[in-house]
Order: sequence, then C-alpha cells, then structure tokens
Amino acid sequence: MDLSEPIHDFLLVFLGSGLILGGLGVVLLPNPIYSAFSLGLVLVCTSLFYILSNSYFVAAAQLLIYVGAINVLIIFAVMFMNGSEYYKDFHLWTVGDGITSMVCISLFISLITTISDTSWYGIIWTTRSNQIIEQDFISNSQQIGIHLSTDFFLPFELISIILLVALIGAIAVARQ
Amino acid sequence: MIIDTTEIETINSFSKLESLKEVYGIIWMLFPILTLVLGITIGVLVIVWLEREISAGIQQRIGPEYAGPLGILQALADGTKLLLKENLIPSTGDTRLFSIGPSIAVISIFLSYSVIPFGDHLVLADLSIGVFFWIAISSIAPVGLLMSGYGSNNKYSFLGGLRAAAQSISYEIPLALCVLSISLRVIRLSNSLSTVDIVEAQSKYGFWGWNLWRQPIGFIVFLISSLAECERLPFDLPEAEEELVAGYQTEYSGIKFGLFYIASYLNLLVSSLFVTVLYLGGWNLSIPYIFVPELFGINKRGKVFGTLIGIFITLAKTYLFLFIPIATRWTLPRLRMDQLLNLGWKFLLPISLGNLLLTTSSQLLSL
Repeated sequence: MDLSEPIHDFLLVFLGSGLILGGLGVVLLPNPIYSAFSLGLVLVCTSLFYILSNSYFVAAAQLLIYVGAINVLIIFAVMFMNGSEYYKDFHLWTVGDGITSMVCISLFISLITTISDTSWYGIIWTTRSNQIIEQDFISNSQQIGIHLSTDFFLPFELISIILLVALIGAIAVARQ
Repeated sequence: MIIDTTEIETINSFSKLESLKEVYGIIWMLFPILTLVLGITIGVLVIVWLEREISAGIQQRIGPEYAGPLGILQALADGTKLLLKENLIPSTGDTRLFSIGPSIAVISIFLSYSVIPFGDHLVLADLSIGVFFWIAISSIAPVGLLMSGYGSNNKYSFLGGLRAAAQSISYEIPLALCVLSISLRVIRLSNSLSTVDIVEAQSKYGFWGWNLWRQPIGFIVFLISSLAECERLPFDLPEAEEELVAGYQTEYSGIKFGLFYIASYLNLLVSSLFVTVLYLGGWNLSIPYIFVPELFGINKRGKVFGTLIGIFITLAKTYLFLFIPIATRWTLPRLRMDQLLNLGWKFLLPISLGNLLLTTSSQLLSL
C-alpha cells in the first residue's frame, strides 16, 4: 500500500504487537475457547501484514481459508468440549512441558541466528532481476496462477489428490 | 549567533509545517471514510422503512405513519429506543465474548463497503482483488456470531451461532464460484478483478451489456446464496423464532441487539449493491447509445453532476433490486436445516461449478 513512512511504521508496530499478543494468548490462556479466538486474531493480523506488503491476493486467500474456514472449524470443535474438565488436571509443570519448551526455545534461537546471518538484500536483488520482466506485464494473482501451472504443477496436483483422499475418507467414515 | 538561532527557528517551523501536513493528510484520509459510513447508515434507515412499508402493503396493513411524514422517522425512533434501553448481560455467561461478538459482526460487514464503486471511479479502495476482498472479509462475520452464541451461555443462542456459521460457510462456496465466473471475463479484458473494471466491462451496449444476460444461471445462484448469507427469511434458520427463541441474539438487549439488527440490514444492502455492480451494470445509465459523460461535457461542473447522476443510478438500481428480497420474505416459508444443506451442497454447488465450466470453455473458444 502507498502509505507515508510514519503511518506505515505505526501500522507495522501495531500489527506486530497484535500478532505477538495473540500468539502468547494461544499458548498461555487456560480456557481453550480464548486460545481458539486469539488464534483467529493472529491469522487476521498475518493477513493484514500481507496487505501492508502489497500482496492482496495472498491476504484474501489467508482470510478466506484460515480465518473463514479453518479457524471457524477449530472454534466449532473447541466449543463442544466441556470447559471445566480442563481445570481439574492442570499441573503447572510436567515433563512434556519441559521437552516442548526446550524444542521451542532451540527452534527460536536457530531462527533468530539464521535471520540475522542471511543477507536479505542479496536474495531480493537476485529474485527481482528475474521477475522484473514478468511483473511489468501481469498482475500478482496471475503470476501465482502461471507458477502453479508451470513450476509447481506436480506439488499442486499431489496436494489436490491428498485433499480428494481426505474428502473420500471423511465421507466413508460418516456413512458408517 | 543571531543568524544561527533564526536558522534553527526556520528549520523548526518547517518541520512543524511538515507534521501539520501529515496531520491534515490523515484527516483527509478519514473524511471519505466518515462520509461513506454516514451514507451507509442513512441507507440502512431507508431499507428499514422500505421493509416496513412493503411488508405492510403485502399484508394489507397501514404500516408506520406517525413518526414523521409517511413514517420516515420510524427507524430513527427505533434506534433511539434501543440506545436508551437497559444493557443486560447474562450473569453466568462470558462477559468479554458477549460484548466483543456483535462488534466483530458489524465491523466485518462495514469493511466490505470499501470496495463498492458508487459512481464513476468513486470507490474508497480500488484494490486489484476487488470482489474477493468482500468474500474474504465476509467470512470473518461467523466468528463474531459463534462468539456471541457461546458467550451468552444459552442453548438457543449456542445452537443459533452454530447454525449461522454452518450456513454461511456452506453458501460462501457457490457465491465465490459465481463471482469467479464473472471475473474471468474481466481478467481477460483488463487484467484485474477490481470492481471498477467489472462495471467498465459492462458499459458497452447499455442495457444489453449487463452480466445478467451473460450469466443467467450465475445470477440466480448468486441471488439464492446471497439471501442465505444475509439470513433472510427463506434461510433465517439461525434466528428461527419457533425453534430457537431468537437464535444467537436471544440474550441481547439494548444497543448490542441494535448492532445485530443493523448488521443484518447492512448485509442486505451490501449484497444488493454487489448484485448491482456485478450483474446490473453499476453506475452506467443502461439505455443504449446514451452515455452520461458525453451529455455533461468535460468541465468541472459537468463532472460533478455526472458523478451525482452515477451515484443516483447505482442507488436506484440497488433499491429497486431490494424489492425482490423483501417480497421473498413474505412469500416463501422457512426451510428445514437438512433442506438448507441439501440445497447448498447438492444443488447450488454443482450448478455453480457447471456454470464456471461453461464460462471457462466459452472464454477459451472466443480466444
């Protein structure tokens, strides 16, 4: 989006804090309903980030699929659980928690080191030189379509077969 | 020393000017948004009045007549009453979810107004994805309905919220497929999905250039599924008063109930505005061989007049179209839940897929 520098920065900080708060809420809130709704907040903030960086189609797809379908399904599932069961066997610290926190902290540290080590400008310039000719003629969503039907054709087809298998499996389970 | 201080002062004043300019810029950004919100609110009041009058006509009653001439101020009086009523909150419910729910439902519908072109290029945000922004944003509303259904700690509210979410998810797919089959032609003509380009693509041949004639099946499917998205009467299962007292709005009172009420009418207005933009030629005059811009010349006053005419034509088409959903409300009985899902998944989805296939093949042949 063509915004002036301070407004852009303000929106960036605002969305970023929303994302971090939402992510912390997903992990830390004891009531699973609140966790599901804050997951929705995280997904909305991510799609607003896409809008801020001019990729509208990805933003719309993110909203439609992740918030409109997946998050609503998660809320559906969580709402049918009985909330009070969760408070009874709620231990503050178990072995599983320790292992999970170790894995998460090591992942976080490795991500931080790779992000600071990578030279992002080099990557941007090498990819931009390839794309600069394409970008002049066609819009963003058309580029996605072209790449899906040429470079990423095999993964695309494989994913659609997996979805078809899941659909048939769900119908088979539901008919019994 | 004296020169230095004056220089610093001039620099300071310059930076102050810059910041003032930015503030003015922000205010200038807010001005069209506030105008749009005000206009939409007036539009909703008009719809409420229209619905009361038309229902009265269909049922051979008189309808509102005391508040203002012809009862025009009736909706305003209702709104004031809701503002002044006591705001009840269920004691064992979840207060936070209960209060956030209605605002999410209203905000997500208000956001979708930003891509509607009211006049010649008179649109708040001319995004390249255009209509898909509407479809993506309107998929947030069920989250708000689920939230309020869960937060009120009431079986009826809970069932209503679940029904609303299931209904809007299942009818969003045919809606998106109809929009897709329209935008195929627009992509070929002008390389974008923006709503302005969709209207421009229908501007030739006046009345005969409407997408209604190109996509008759798509129009019917869009009509049915937009009625279902608005939860209007043949599909108003989430608030069916015989089964669930009032669905997800059972526990609400005062202005929070008013927010749900406004949200349903906002949804009705936005979907009929989108019918106008997608199928009925938008702001164009739609009489063949007469073009509005040529009538009023190119000077500034002519342009302003042309824009006003464009807004008037869009709104006239929208409100004329609104007679169909309002008359449907008093004509058709409510569906059962299984009938609703059968209609959505076994009838509308295959038909809209077939429509998409037909459109794609005709596009390929004409290339």
